[in-house]
Amino acid sequence: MASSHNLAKFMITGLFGVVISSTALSADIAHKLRNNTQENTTTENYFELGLGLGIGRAPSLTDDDDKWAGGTLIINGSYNWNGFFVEKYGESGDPLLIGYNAYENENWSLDFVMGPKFGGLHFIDKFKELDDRNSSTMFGARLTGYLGDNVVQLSLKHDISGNSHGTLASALIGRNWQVRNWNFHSLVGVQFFDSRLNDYYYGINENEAQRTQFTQYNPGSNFNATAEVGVTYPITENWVFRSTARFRTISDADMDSPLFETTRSTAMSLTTSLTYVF
Amino acid sequence: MLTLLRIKKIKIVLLIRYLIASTCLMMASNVYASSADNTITTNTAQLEVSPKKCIALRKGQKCYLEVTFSWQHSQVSDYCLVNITTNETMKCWQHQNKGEFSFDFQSRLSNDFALRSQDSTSNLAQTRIPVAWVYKSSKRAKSTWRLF
Repeated sequence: MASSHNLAKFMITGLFGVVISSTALSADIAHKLRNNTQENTTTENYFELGLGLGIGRAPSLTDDDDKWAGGTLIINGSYNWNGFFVEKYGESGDPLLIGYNAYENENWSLDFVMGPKFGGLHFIDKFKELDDRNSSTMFGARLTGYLGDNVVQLSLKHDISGNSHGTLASALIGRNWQVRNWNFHSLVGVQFFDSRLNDYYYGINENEAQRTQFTQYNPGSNFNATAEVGVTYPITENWVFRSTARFRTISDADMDSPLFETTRSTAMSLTTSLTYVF
Repeated sequence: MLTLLRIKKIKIVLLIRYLIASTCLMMASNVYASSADNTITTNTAQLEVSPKKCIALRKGQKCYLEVTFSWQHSQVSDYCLVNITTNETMKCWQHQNKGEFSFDFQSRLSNDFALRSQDSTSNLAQTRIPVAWVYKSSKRAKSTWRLF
């Protein structure tokens, strides 16, 4: 089991890492691929709880070591009613998503979605003097296509909370294949973070620079590439095993931020989980 | 006095009739029981499959399971293992009263299996491989615009 130090480090990497990241392999395409859903299906109503363990290398806000290891509680679920849905997928970069399915046919599905994204910094002592980085409420559209054996997902979201005023876009393509009862999937994609998003979470404004040791920093926009491969196996009707390897690039716009203690141009992780589906 | 004697006589007759009837019934039921026991003994068949259940991740997905059927019958004869769901004969045995058969089960649905005499369509024993899944999913409509 991970030590508390490692666990904290993992959580920090996980929470703030989302900003830089693109662990955010937009949610449900990963979920759809994991469930071996190659056709347009409704979001299932279900709930699951589990434990996950992971190791990886990523930039760190607090440590001079880029390696992390730890465990996490997994809470997944979705509920669909008359086109409205609530999703919470552990494999997603979106902590919680509510949405409405506006259009669907055999091959395409268009959803309007809204949910909180990105975390704050105030839980780390060395950032206490900085302005709060509050969560953004990203609202936008998500188009999912089922093209042969591939699933594509395009999304465009904008912060409507007034915190970051940022815009996030992503294009992802993936596929799955079944080897007996083992369900493999792969996913590649690119994400775009606009300058307002980067500036709010990674920037240091003039006032902050004056009252802290951090130097002023105003990042521009950036693209991150991301890839993942994973496997999902149903152990019983209720227990599911998952394992995923992820890789992503991290742009200079993120890594030049004085907030980081350790920087890297890439991040990678290997996670394994066991969940109970109710 | 005479009346009393007559009543007693009638009672004794009734009692004797009752005893005779009961004895006959008991004898008859014993005969039936032994006859039934013989039927069960002569036609006992067992069919089992292991492991029992095939688990897929999602409803509608093909499920894979290596299974072994084992059967036995009290009489030596020619028997076949039949997949009742697909109406497919999987394996036949000649002059046997027991057997085993390993099989790579692949199906999206639960399948029923039976042991039959080779030249018969009646099932001597039956078993099932249920296909279960973790996540349910249902196909969306062909083309729909929604406005609440």
